[in-house]
Amino acid sequence: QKEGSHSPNDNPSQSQSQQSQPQPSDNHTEEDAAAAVIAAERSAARIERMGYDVGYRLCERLAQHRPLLGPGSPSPETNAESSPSPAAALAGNTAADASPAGNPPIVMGGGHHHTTMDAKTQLEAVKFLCKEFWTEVFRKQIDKLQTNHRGVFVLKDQELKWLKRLPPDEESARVGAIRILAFPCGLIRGALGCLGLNGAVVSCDFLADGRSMASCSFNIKVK
Amino acid sequence: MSSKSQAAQAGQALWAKMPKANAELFALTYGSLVTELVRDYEDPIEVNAQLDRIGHSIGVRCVDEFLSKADVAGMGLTTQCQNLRDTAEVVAKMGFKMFLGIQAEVGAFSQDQRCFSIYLQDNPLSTFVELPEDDPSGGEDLRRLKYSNLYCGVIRGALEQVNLKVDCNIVRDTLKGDELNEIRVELKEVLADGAGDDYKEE
Repeated sequence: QKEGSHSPNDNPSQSQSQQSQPQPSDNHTEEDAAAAVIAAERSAARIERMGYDVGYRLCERLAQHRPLLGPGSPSPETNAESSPSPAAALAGNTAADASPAGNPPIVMGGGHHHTTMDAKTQLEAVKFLCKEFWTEVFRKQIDKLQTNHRGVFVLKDQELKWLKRLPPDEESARVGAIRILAFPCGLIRGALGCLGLNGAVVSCDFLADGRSMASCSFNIKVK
Repeated sequence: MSSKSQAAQAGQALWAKMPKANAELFALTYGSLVTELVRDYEDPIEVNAQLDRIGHSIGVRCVDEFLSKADVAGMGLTTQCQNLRDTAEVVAKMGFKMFLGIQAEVGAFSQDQRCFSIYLQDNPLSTFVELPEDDPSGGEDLRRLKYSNLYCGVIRGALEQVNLKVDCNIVRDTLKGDELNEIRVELKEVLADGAGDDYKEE
C-alpha cells in the first residue's frame, strides 16, 4: 500500500525556537517539545495507515447504493498524448465549467495502468466525500470545499468533533492534533482510493485560533 | 427481581442520552487496530495482552463517565451495589448498554459468589469480521487470538476504579463458532481505598 505523505506542520522545531528565549530550562523544554512532535508524527503515520483501511472499506459500503459517478466514469485507457500536464494545465485555466468534452482527461494513478478520470468526475467524487462520507463519520458535512479544478482540493471543517476537547494551550494541542488528524487524512485517502482516485496525497492543517480549537483543513492533491 | 429491571431501564435511559457514532466506523476502526497489532506483535497471545491493556485504559475512563452520568440522572448507584451480583447487573445492563447499546445478560454465578459470566448475543466489535481458517503454515495461530479481548480490559479497568480487582476471560466467542459470546469475570480481591492510585501515571 502506498502511504500518503503527511505534513501537518512545516518545521515545527523552527517555530518553537523562534518563540522561546534561550535559557537553560527552556532548552530542555524545547528539546522535549520537539521530541514530542517527532514521536507524534511517527504514530501519526501509523494512524494514517489505519485510517486508509477504514476509509476504503467504509466508502465501499457507502458507495454500494450509489449510481456510478459522473459522465466520465473512470475507464482504463492508454494515454496517447505525450505531454498531458501542460495541456491539462492550460485547459484548467479556461472556464472549468466548459462541457466535459472540452477538458482533456487528467492522468492519475500509479505507473502500472493509466486510469483517466476527468475533472468533473473527480469533483463529483470529492463532493461525495464531503457530503455523504463525512456525514457518516462525523455527522456533519465538510464546511467548505475549494478546488482549482486541476486536482487540488481543500476541505475545511470548522468544527471537527474529535478536536473539540483539545486544551487551549497551543503546543500540546498541536501535538495532540497531529495524531488525531492523521486518522481523517487516512480516511480521505482511503475513500478516494475506493472511488478511483488512487495516488492522492492528503495532508492536513490544524487551524486552531483563539476562537475555535476544532478548526482544520485537509489538502488533497490528485496527481 | 426489581433491581434487575431497574438496571435495564436505567441502562436504556443512559443509552438514549449518549452521543452516537457510526457502528460500521466503530467496527472497522477496531478491526484495523487489531490488524495493526497483529502486524506488530505477530504472536496472538501478545496481541491479546495488548488489547487487554488498551481496554484497561478505556475502562478507567468509561467508569468515570458512567458514574457521573448515572449520578446526575439521580440513580444514586454508588450506594446501590451491595454485592457482586448487583455489580454484575450494573456492568451488563447499564455499562454495556450505555456505551455499546447492546443488551448483555449475566449468569452462571459461582457457588462462592465470586465469579459470574456476561453474555453478549451480538458483538458490535466483530461486525464484518472473520478469523482466518486453520492453515498449516501458521494460520492456526490466529485462532488463539481473542478478538474482543478489549472488553476484558475494559471491565477490568472499570472495576479496578471501584476497588474490585477482577480477572476477565473470553470463554466463548461467536467468531470461533460458538452461539454466543461469554466473558467470565472472577473477583480476585476487594482493594482497600487507595488514594495513592489516583496519582499513578499510566
